Amino acid sequence: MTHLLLLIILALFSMVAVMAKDLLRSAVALGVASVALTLVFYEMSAPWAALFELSVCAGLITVLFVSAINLVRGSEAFLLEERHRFWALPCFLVALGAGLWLFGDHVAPSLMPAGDAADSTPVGSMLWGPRRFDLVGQICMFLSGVLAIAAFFGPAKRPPLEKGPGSVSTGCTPATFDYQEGK
Amino acid sequence: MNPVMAANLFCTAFLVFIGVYCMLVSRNLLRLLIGVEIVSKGVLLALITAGQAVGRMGAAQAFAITAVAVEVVVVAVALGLVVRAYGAHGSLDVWKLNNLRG
Repeated sequence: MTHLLLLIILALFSMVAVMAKDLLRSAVALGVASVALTLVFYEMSAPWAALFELSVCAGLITVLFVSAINLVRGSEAFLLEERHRFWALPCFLVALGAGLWLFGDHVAPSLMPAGDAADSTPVGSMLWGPRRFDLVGQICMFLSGVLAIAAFFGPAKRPPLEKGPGSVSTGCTPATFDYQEGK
Repeated sequence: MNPVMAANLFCTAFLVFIGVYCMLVSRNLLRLLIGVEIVSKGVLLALITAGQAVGRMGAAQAFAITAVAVEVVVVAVALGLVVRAYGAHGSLDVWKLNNLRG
């Protein structure tokens, strides 16, 4: 019962995140949905995934969204969208739910993976053993992300200096040129 | 099928639908990213459900951790792009990002 309640909270707050008019409310609703997903994971005996979901998705990504919203909070940041399209979402969801209720039993078994044999390797051994290459991929992703952010928000390029009438084009940087003149 | 897994798959379908609908309908760049986030939540739920179904929670959690790491990098870089686009255009409307239009 608790599991079902948590899933309902997750779907409900995801819907609020899409339909809210204020972007800040959307970001907060997304964080609450992440917390609900964390509790679902914990209940499904996946504590490590729950930990990462809570710290990264509910914490870090919410903070990133809130800071980005504050950075772009301008006159046009909250542009007028066609709200009636968002209000149609619950109708579509009801239709989807009815379709799944009627035909889900035929589709779902074919979606479920056929397990070979249960494997109770702990997540640490799995991550540092057979899935070690994933860690290399994660490190590459983090490095590329840091490089991308540094490229976006790094120091701006200096504009080229204007040359005076008597200056000679030496190909030196301005600092070197001044130093030679002073000498 | 186990009713818990059926409920999880039901919720996964809902989350993916909500996220894709958000990406299709919204014109705001930040709301598009919120749609991406919701889809990734659905994918994480499906991963853990599949791990529980076959009794391999270790592998499922390892995949989920990798997915979370990829997700946070994607969101951080995309938010950086959004902020730069706002600085260049003064708007978050995707319909106004038409500089490359022929």
